[in-house]
Amino acid sequence: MNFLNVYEEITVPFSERPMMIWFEGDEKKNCNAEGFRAFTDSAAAYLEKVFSDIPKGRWIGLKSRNHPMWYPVFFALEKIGYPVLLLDENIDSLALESFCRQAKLAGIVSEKDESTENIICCKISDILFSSCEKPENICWEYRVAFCTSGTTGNAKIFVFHADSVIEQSRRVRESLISQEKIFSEIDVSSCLVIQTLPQRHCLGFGLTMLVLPWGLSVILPEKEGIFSVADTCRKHGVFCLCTVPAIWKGLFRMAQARFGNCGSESMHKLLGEKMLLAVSAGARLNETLWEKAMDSGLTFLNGWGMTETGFVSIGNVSDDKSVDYVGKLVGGHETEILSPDENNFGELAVNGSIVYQSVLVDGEEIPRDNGEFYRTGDIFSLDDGRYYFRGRRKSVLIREDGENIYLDELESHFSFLENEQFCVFEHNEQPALVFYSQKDVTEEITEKLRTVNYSLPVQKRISKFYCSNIPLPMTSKGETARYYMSSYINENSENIREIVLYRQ
Amino acid sequence: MKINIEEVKETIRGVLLELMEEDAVAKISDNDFFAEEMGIGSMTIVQIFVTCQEKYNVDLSNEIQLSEPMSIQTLAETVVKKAEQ
Repeated sequence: MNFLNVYEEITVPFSERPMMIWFEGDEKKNCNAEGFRAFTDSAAAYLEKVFSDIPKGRWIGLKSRNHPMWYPVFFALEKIGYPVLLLDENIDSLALESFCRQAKLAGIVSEKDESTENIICCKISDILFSSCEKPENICWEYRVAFCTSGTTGNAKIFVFHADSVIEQSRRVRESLISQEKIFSEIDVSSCLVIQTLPQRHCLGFGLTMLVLPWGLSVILPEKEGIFSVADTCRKHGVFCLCTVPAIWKGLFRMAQARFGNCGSESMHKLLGEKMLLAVSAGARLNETLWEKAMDSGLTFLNGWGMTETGFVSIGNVSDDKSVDYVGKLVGGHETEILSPDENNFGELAVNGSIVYQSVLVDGEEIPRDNGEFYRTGDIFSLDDGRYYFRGRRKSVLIREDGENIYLDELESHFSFLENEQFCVFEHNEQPALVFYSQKDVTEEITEKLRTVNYSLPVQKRISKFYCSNIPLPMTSKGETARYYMSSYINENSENIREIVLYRQ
Repeated sequence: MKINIEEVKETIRGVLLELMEEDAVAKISDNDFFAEEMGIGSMTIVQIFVTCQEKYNVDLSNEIQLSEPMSIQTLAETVVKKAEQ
């Protein structure tokens, strides 16, 4: 199986009606399957020429924000024999360099010129303005790779095969149909799903691969920003919105500000009468959001998964009284709760055909050991087939916008502090940094902290810096006790002071 | 185009009021930095910039990267300056 099978699955339902809908200024545009195939062929023919010196099977990066032609470009690369590495358009040059090295990237399709001595770059705008017909040499590839948030040089790249993408899509669809009566009440084949998630992210990519074979058309927001998400849903009769808790929080707040509450009637005024299905994923729903989801009048689904595992569980928030409930298995996974404590809480480990197939490390593709369960680093409990997410074990902070922040990776940016004892830790749901120094903090240090922090993407910046004049607590392994640091700061306020970087 | 800086500030506060609790917005002074001091998320910041771009017909694509701290005051000044160019 290769990406031709995926391509066929997603295009077949749309011979007569729009598959993708988007906006150029005030003009509404769309393409059906025929148009989609024509765009794909034209892009493939153009890319075939640009990458003619690159052997088939070498990895090509796709680094672009959401765009109506994103998927045709993706399938074009697969069609002419290149596996595609999906890259965040916002990563800095250090992270890009690291991903290029790990995947031994030979080419990249990007919004800007990013060619180097070893990498051929094709600007996405050049593909869009080309008018080629069909590629000469068709040899469909079977691999796609996703990156976890690469804050620093420690890029992590997970490879999935086409059969796994198809199986995941089918399993989630079957799971939803069996669990939710809405799918037996409504003919979803005439419905619209709005795409607000990054297409290069496993969740955004997975959502599209789920809904298109089902026959739901995908619409992109008219403009940037959350106001336009709501406007597009309402004006164009969108049926389903799948997004991260941060966006749901904003939408509930908008309903509250505009209509005085965020109950069922207000949410329909905001998002339109046709909006019936809501999905929250990418990060945990907190209790406030969970309560609002219950009162929203929408069929509100919550789930759990990660880049490495794909979708693992999905369920309706109203089916369980616990805010931790993340549904039932979608299938395709076996699970184990490792070393459960007296409350039956333990680390979730998963295995199965939907879990990633290999990793890219230093240019080598290393297959996963299929006999081994993948340890997720998340704490779960399981009760009668129901999964409850109880928290994280790994040193990863997940913001409500779904952004993963790897605390140890963030630390590596501040390596100029290595002569001091220091660590990055979670403090009030934000990353914070503390270091131990008996000396006064110099202007030079403050400036370095500031410069490094501002070189990071805004959502990954350190929110608070602290200097301690007492040593920081250590673990039994001799590491700085990251997990204890937030309370340590609060308990030792007389010895630990905040460094204000931004104003005198 | 001549724009009143107070009007721009009102526009920014209007966006904040749609996306944040009233009490939280009331605590924000004109000089508090959005991300660094108020912990305002990227979704809200993007909407503030998009609204200002559309309403005042200015290009803020460089400023949206927030390579410098930005407050209601500094963003309003930037919008006014760009609109006058």
